[in-house]
Amino acid sequence: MPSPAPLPRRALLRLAGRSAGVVVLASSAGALVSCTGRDSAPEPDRATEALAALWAGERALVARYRQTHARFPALRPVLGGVLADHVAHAAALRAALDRAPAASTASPAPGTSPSARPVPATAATALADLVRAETAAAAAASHACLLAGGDTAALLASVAACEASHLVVLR
Amino acid sequence: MTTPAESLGAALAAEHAAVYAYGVLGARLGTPARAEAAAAETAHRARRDALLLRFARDGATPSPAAPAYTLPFAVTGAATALDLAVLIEERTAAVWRAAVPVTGRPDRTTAVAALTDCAVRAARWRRRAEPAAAATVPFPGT
Repeated sequence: MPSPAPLPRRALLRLAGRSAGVVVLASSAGALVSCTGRDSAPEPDRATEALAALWAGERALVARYRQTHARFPALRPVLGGVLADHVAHAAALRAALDRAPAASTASPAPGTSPSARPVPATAATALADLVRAETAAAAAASHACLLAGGDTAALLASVAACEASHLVVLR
Repeated sequence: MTTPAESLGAALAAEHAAVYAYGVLGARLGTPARAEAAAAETAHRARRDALLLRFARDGATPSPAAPAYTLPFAVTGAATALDLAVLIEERTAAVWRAAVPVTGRPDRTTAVAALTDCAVRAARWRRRAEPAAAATVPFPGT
């Protein structure tokens, strides 16, 4: 089954090649978002691509937390609320994607995208791995927020804020 | 529709109120929570001052802080102080979130950063108030 990430990634790399001053950021899930360094109106095509990448990233985070739960059952009380947040994010991003104007190169793929990397060997290193993933995901969401318009921008701001707050739980 | 100036004016009012509330609730907390409250008050003061500068650059005169604010409930001890800290951060988060859709850069960048800071502090306060409960919410500011 194809991963949903490659289409947005290719599209954004193509955009990076033709746009001056573009910053491309990588999230832990391999999703990419980009933003320019200037004030600009919402850009529907790029915003939809970024939204698709974030949705893929959220599903990868959900899979990652479930894998960590399975490997370290003792962490479930710590991670249960965080996993629930990511499940809610994935649903909200999917709904936003369904409402978004169709991008010329990005489309959501069905199914889930489990993490390709194995869960680290100890609970401490697994938590550190999740801290890195949350940090990257929060950065990706906050940058994508700058591309989006209206309610989607507010949604992405909340997602970024929530992911930053997860560090309080994970540390 | 709310204008950027109106949304930032609401954020300024919320930051004024947050500074006031932390002054009240901090006195009811023991250490190290009191130090955390002092840090939160400093952070809200910095957001407030940055907004005042922002308005001054535009030649605008925002509403001043009220001399006192009516708290939503009496702060009688550490437990109610923690409850108020959570509430202050949630309310301030909501105001900054409302600024996101109606602002462009650099104000939107500021709004996202402020919303994030509120969400992080709210999670810390929830954890102190009730360690066994969920410390985070999926959509801060809603």
